Amino acid sequence: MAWREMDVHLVREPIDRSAFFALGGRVAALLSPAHALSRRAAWRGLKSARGLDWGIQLGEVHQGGWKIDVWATGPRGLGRVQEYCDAIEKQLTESSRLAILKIKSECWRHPEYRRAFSSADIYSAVLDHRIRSVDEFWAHLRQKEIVS
Amino acid sequence: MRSDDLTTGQRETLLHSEAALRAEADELMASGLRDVLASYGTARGWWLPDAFDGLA
Repeated sequence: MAWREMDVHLVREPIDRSAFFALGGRVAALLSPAHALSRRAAWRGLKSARGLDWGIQLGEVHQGGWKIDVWATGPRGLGRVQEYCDAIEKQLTESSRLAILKIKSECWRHPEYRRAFSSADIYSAVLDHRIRSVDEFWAHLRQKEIVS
Repeated sequence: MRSDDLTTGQRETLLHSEAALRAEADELMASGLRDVLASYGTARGWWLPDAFDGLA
């Protein structure tokens, strides 16, 4: 069990703000309560360094609801994300994959997850520091003064 | 417990959970979300730690 999150990057150059906000309307219509049953959708539109973003939340994520971040990016922005993802994928082994899944499964409900630390800290701990257990991960975060 | 010390059953449980989430994501996209997202631009998706390409 882990945090149900997916990042989706939509590439269009130049970024079309009006079209992206219209897209938000279409997604809202698709994921309406009639379609999603008891799910509810919370929305935020924001501009960040990575471009425009729709944060779509289907239910309470701490109780297993999906969180889908939809980013409007250009080819360069996509390239940076692709590079990061490819680097992680190349380093994955059976041992590191299981370590990541194990740590995620035990940390995703922690109140500081996605606040003080995130999945990126888990990937870095496992792939860069060869951490293989939850106890080692907490010690790693304390050493970096990310958690007390 | 280090991941290297997991039992076969524990390993299978973790991998099964990951596969189940992938299936949920596929289902979500197949419900029409894939087509709606593609109406804006070329869509690519990721679901770390593995590359997830449910939009292809």
